[in-house]
Amino acid sequence: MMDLIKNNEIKGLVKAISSNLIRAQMEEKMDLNLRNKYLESAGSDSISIGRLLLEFDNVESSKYFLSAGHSFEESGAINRSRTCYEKVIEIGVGDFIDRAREGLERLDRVNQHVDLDTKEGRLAGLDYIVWKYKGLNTLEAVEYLKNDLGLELSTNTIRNYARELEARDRVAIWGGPQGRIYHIYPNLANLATRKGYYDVETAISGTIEKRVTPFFEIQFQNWSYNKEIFVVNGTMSPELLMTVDMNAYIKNLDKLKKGYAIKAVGTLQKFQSLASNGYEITQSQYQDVFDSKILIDRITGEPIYNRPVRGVD
Amino acid sequence: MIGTKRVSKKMGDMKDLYMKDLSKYSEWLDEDILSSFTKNAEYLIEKHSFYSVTLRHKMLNEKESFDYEVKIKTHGLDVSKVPSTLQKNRIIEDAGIAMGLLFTQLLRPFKFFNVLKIGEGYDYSYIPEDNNEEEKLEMTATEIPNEGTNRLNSKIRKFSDKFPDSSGYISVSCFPDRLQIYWGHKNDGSD
Repeated sequence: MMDLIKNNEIKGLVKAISSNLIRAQMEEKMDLNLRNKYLESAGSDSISIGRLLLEFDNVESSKYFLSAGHSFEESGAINRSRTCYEKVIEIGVGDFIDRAREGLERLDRVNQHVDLDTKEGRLAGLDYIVWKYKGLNTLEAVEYLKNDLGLELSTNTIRNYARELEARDRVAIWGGPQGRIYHIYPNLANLATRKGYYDVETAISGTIEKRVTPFFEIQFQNWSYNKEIFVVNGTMSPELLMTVDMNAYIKNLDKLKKGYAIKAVGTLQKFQSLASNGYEITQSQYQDVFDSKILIDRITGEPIYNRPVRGVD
Repeated sequence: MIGTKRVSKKMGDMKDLYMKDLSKYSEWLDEDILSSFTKNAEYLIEKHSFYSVTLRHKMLNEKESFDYEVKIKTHGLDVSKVPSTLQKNRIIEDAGIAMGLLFTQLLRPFKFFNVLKIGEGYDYSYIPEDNNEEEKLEMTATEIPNEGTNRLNSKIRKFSDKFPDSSGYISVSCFPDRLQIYWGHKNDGSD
């Protein structure tokens, strides 16, 4: 660790994590909402540092992922916590594995311990339901909260809570107002590990960095879909590619360029899925690809493309 | 070197502790935190006329302890508004952390410092200048008479149970009539 501390990025993250954990400690028994926000901020930075250390020092990396797991667990960000513990087990450093397993066991029982009398507890309840069902709309949320946790919340309250959870990077939302159904998805933007979340529907937001379709070679024997491929610089970390249906590209040639602020709904796929669909590249820094089905102008909030349902259009 | 029986006896005299030395943590902690800690600590120091304290150094494997007279040098900040802006517990707890950080600086100059959350509570640790082994730090503060001793003993037990392999630790307990530092290293017994 000592040599790595000479790296300014790591040193900056160490300082941010320590400072936010001390702030959280200062808010213990004072302001639970504020404490949890500091814990979540420290957790996100701990994931970043865990990733940076991964190639050099698995012990230190495990320590930061474990700390992230505890930070999220205590703030009620149950599922972000879960991916941190899963990452510790995946790294496989002996001393930390047992602690991570204990963490996962606690999380398995967490729905029995959520304090629904507090707002933070109710937020944790909604977070739990959203991740358990891998996305839902507000009406489904009303039903599942009642059935699974015995918690009765109005659709308005659920929307307010979802907005707060989105601001804290715990869920991603799409839809509403103006009569559109309001969807709440798990936020997969900065997870310790995305294992277990491929093919899960979510929303991402960011800015188009560049179009990279020409860098791919089409293997016609596997070519099963006609896509354009972009690098989106935004909430997803590590950064990933986004595929856009050819129809969406043609209809929005003027928009889908460098610097365009976009929100997209779709599913997370392994990078290899591109090759299995006919798009091959020799070398790539990217691990994942986001297959978009709905594109939204992030400034106006208006959809610019909605993939037709097969067999209907 | 402080931290061994032999040298403690030899050096068991006066030390000066400067509140301004908290700024040495600015490499590892944000300024607003250090500023808040300094104010709260100075408020309690002023309230209890806490300018001269005894630092009791007790080693892991020894029953004996050694006392140092420590003079605390404050900034002379205006702390009159502290009690109206913060809850009492918060002032005491923040002051405890401030004093812990200051005494760590005094006893074990370090080259790395961080806070993590490895289990319940918050885990403070540092790597001293003279080796590469991470050491733990625990702090507590109270204004309730005798409660400091209880808390200190509980923290010592925590270290034995929770960090059996830790190369060393500093535990700081601040309370009005005394300020107690518990500091130990695995190699204490051999010196």
